[in-house]
This record gives sequence, structure tokens and C-alpha cells, in this order.
Amino acid sequence: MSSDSKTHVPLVILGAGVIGLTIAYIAACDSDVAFDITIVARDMPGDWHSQAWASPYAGASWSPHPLGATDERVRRWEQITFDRLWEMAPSGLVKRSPSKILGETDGVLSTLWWKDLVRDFSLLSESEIPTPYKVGIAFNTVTVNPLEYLSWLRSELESRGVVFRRQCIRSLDEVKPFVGKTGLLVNATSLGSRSLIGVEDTAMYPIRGQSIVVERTGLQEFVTVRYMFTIPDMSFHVGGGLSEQVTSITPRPGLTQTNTAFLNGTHQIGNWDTSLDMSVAKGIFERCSVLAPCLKDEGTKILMHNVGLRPDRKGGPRVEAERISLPLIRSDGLTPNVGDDAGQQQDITVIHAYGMGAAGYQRSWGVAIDVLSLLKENM
Amino acid sequence: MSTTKTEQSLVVLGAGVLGLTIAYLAALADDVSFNIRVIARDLPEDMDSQAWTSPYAGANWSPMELGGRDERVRHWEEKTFNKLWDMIPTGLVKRLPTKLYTARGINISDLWWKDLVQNIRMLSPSDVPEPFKAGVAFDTVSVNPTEYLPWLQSELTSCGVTFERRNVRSLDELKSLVGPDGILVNASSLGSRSIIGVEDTKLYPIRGQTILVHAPGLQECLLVDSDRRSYIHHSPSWKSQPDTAILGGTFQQRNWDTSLDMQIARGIFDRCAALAPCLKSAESRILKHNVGLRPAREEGPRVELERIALPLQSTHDLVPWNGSSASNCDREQAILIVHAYGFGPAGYQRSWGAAEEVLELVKAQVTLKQNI
Repeated sequence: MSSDSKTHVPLVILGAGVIGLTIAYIAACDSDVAFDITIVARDMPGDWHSQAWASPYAGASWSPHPLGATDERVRRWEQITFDRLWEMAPSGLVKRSPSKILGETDGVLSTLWWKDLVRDFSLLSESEIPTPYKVGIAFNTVTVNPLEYLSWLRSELESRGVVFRRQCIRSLDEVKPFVGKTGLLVNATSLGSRSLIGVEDTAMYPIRGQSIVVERTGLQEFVTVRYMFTIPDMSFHVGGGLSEQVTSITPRPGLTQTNTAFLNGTHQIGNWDTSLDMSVAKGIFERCSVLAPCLKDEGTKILMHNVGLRPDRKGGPRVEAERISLPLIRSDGLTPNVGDDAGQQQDITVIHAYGMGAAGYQRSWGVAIDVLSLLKENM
Repeated sequence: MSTTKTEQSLVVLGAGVLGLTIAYLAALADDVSFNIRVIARDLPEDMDSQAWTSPYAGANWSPMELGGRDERVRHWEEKTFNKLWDMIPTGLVKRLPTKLYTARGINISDLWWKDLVQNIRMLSPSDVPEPFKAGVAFDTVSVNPTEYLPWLQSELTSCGVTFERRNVRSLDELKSLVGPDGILVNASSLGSRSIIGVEDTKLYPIRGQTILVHAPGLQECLLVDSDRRSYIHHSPSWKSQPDTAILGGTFQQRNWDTSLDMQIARGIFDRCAALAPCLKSAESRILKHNVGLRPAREEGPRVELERIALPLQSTHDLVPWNGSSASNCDREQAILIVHAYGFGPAGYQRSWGAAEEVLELVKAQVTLKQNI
């Protein structure tokens, strides 16, 4: 493949979660520009036990998230991503899964902005709806196994010459030596953007998610329940009790691990607690067993209890370009000094792409395409 | 003589200051020959990880009230202070001149730690800045985690101790490693809240935000007693970080937030600059902002022996399936565990004393087994 005719453009991507990796993939495959990509991150595929990033802890499948009803960008991202993942199914990395949403009330019907986004959408007839639910929706969705999917992304990127650099970047000043003269940076640091000096986005907050990964044959579909209380939407409210529970079963694809499923879980807004709560685990298991009684049969193996922090953002995800002058100058005198040879003042372009909350995977491809456009506009 | 000694297998879970110090004492023991393995999710090279606390400490011995009411803790701190003081000639530990300012009057004779530190004396009123009423000066001990932890690790490695990076989520995972003859030391600090088979819900984090500064004008450690929030822990001339100091800080109970709060940073800096105006000079500069979670425990640290029957199936629901061979898995086996966690803000300053007690507990079990 000759890339001599293309301009070589250095690109640094901060963050190696599903968003950072997917952006790198889209950029690496671009036919017009030869990006020389370096991914700089504290956590990367392989760090399956780190709770300092969210991507390992996802389900992950496309499921209805209210933001798509009101945010046109989000709807577009999710449509693009859904379609792309659907097409990837033959690879085995993505599973096309039959799904059901069961509602205790018909409140779940109030917004079906996504009915044309998924495949084979239908409302269940009364006889098809199990008690005690009032409403049922069926559709086909897409599911991935995060560990296999992230590993696949990494190996695809490495085979395309993308360099992975493990480093904990605490300030945009630290990136200056990497971005070079072209000064292109993608910030996909999710919750890290709250702490990253030069970004310090206090609109970022975690949503604690505890879950259980099980091995269980006989689980065919993704099924989730919508309770009488609304699943927390984008408005920030102090949750408690029922409103912090989510209940869903996601059978996962697996090329190495077969017959695994992801049992959800919790949705605890503003909660940073990464420790495991076994009483919560019991609640999750009980609620999921109501949906799939076979979970209580012999042969079910608990593989792992997980706790991850979804990186959500008040006001929705941030995907936009920003010109930032480095080294950072601030009036409060609190900027870390990276050394006397910080060099001349240089303007860099930062494309922010973070704050996807519970919907990183299901927006990844759409966001990446937008980010590539922003990169090209700013080159 | 040593040819008659059998090797005692010791698995240390956790590579923070406690786990490393316990392994160190075990490695140096001359009455028992230990075969030591340290297993941890975070190792000394992981200084950027916020999943463990040891990188974020000052660290120095400083007055904490638990030692005044808990005899065992007092004992640990006395032993640790003396051990660290004796290490000063090695350069790994520094003598740290310290001043403690108080909002109310202070009587040295009332201080439980007056004989623990060195060279304690009252400050004259002219040496006590506004708005404080009184103060004492004393010498304490200080270590730099970025030098101390790697030193411990390299000492251990040269003694044949092996390190394995692993995230242990359940005690079942250690069953075959520890075996019926091994002893497990659980020094997993906050991790003990989550490890299935321990699940100690008395553990909770105390969020600590600090600022690492380069400040050549600082000569000593300054502590403020009134709110336990402000302190300037001067790191006297470490080779790797000369003229640095840690400005503190916060003690936010039950706060798991590892993100940086710049408003808090502002407050820390301003309060410390009021104590030491040289922080605002042109020679001083901010190097790093840090956030760590101190592993505190209701009622104090847990240091005790426990015998646990594995696998955990019989006593626990939803235990993760242990993927090892079926025969191993099914056979019930009790393992000996010595817990050593929950030291909160005082890990370093209790490390040697607590490690000694852990070794005594371990050796008592070794003796028991030999006598059977």
C-alpha cells in the first residue's frame, strides 16, 4: 500500500477506551490522509482489572437511551454505530441478538425514537407479555463482548502501525512534545477529563455500575425491564433505591468464552465507589432470575462480579474542536510546571470526544466519524 | 542448622507499604525460613495508579489520635518511629524538623506522643504565627514513597521474594497457591472490602488531595492541628526530588472520588501559603496535584489471625466459580490468614510495628504446626 502520495499527519489520541480506539481505527483507515497515530493512555486493552476506565465493564449491547430522542447528534451516532455493528456480525465479534423490553407500565412507550434504528421492531401482544408486566417490545439488537472487542480493536490498530504508549497524562502540557508541529490531539479520556489540567470538565460525573458475568446455557435474548420509576435520564437527580437499579440480561458473544451473559445492575449517579457490594450482587441476581429462572438452575457459574464507573456528562457528550494554547497559562497559579524547557507557545487543536456515559459502545462508530471530520476541518 | 528447617510458604496479598514491610521482616527472619510470594494488583512501579494508597503518602510520622487511646497502635507507632529513626544514616529516611501550630493552648505533658518523637519543645509565642495560639516543635521521621517502596521491593527481590501481578477477587483464587501448609497475609487495604471471603464493610476511604511543590525556601514540616486539613510536609532533599514538599490536604470521609478538584487545590494552596509565604515566590512551583484514598477502618486497623474454610461455597452465595481442576476445587481445606489492613492515614507510621506483630502471629502458627 503506497501512502507516499498522502500527507502524513501526526495524530495523538488520549485515551484507549472504546471511543479512543474507534477514533483511531477510523483515522487509520482513512483513504485521503495518512495519520501517524499514537494512542497515549493510562489504561489500555489488556488492563481488564483496572477500574480506572469503563470500557471493560460494559454489557455491551445497543439499548434505548433517552438522549437520542432529543439530541440529533446522538441519534445519528447511534444509527451509524448500530448499522456498522450489525454488518460486523459475520466476524463473530458482534452478535445480532433478539431483545425484549418489558415495562411495568406503558411509560416505556412514551418515547420510541429508536424504533427504526433497531431491526425487526414490534410490540408484543398481550398474550406474549409475561406477568406482571404490562407492555412488551421486541427487536433485534447488536451485542459485543467488551474484552474481545477491545482486544480486536487494539490488534487491528497495531497491525496498521498505530503506536500505544502507556502514560498517565495529568495535564495537556504533557502532550505538547507528542503532538509536534501539526498539533492535533483527540481527547477521549472520559472521566479523566474531569481531572486533566487544561480540560477540567466538572460536568463529568460517574454512574456506578455493578454487574455479574455468568456462564449459563439457554439464555437466548437480551431482556430488560423498565420499572414504574423512570430509568434515570439526563437530568441530574439524587437517586436512591429503586431508581438506581437496572435489570437486564445480555447474552454475550464469545470466541473464547462461550455461553456467557452479563447481568445488570446498578445505575448510581454520582457514585465513585469501586468496591464490591455483595448485597447489591444478590439483588441483581434475584431480579435477573425473575426474568430468566434458568439462572437459578444447576450449571450456572458465576464468573465475575464487576464494578465500573460509566463516564457521564451533564448536558450530554462533548464532541467538538477547541484551540488551546500550550503551555497552559492560568491566572490562579495552580498549573503544574512541566519544566523550564516547556518551549514556545503553541496552539494545538483538541478534538474532544468524551462523556458518553452508559452508551460508549453504541455511539462509538458514529462519534469516530464525526471526530474524523472535525480533524480534517482543523488540519 | 538451617538444613533442618523446612521452608514455610508465605503468600502476601498486597504490595503497599504494609505488605512489603511484612514480606521484608519475613525474608530477614532467621528462625523461620520463608518462601515468600507477593501477589498484588498494584506493584511499586504503579505510582500513577489510584487503586492503591502508598504512592500518595507524605510520608512521615505525624500525630494521630488513635495511638493515644489504643495501646496496640501506640506500640506499633513507637516501634516504627524508632526503626525509621535508626535508618536515617542510610539516607532512605530523613530527620524532619516539624512545627505544630494549635488553635488552642497546648501542654506537652498531655501529648501521648511526647516521648515517641525526638527533641520536643514548646514554641515561644513569637514563633507562633497568627491566628494560632500555641505550638510545639519536634523532630520526626520522613520517607519518600517514590524511593522507599522501590527500595523495599528491590530488597525483597534480592532475597528471592517473587512478585506476581494479579487481581485477586476471591480467597478461593488463592486456595491452591497457599495450600494446606501455607500462610496468607492479607494486606490488601481497601481491597478487603471487595475480596470475596473477606468483604470487610468496616473499611472506607478517606479522600486525600494534595499538591506536590518545588519549594526551596521551606525548611521544615508545618502542621496545623485545628482542622487537620492543612499541612506542609517538607520532603528534605531527596535525591530524586530535591527541595520538594507536599501541601495538604483533605480528609474527606467515605469519599471515593479520585478526580481532581481545582477549587480544593486552590484552598489547599492558599492555606499553606498563609503558613509559608515562600510558596508564592518565583522559585516555588507546582509539580503535581494528587488524589489518593486512605484505607480507613471503623474501630481501627485489623491485625489478626483467621482460619477460613475454602472453597467458600458453603458460607457464601454467588461465589465466583474457581476455574481450577475439579478435584482441587471440591476438596475442602482451611487456610490460615493473618489480616493486616485498615491503617488509614497511618500506614507508613505503623508499618514496622504492625509487621512485627504479623510475623509473631505467623511464627506462632509455624511453631504450632511443627509441634503437631
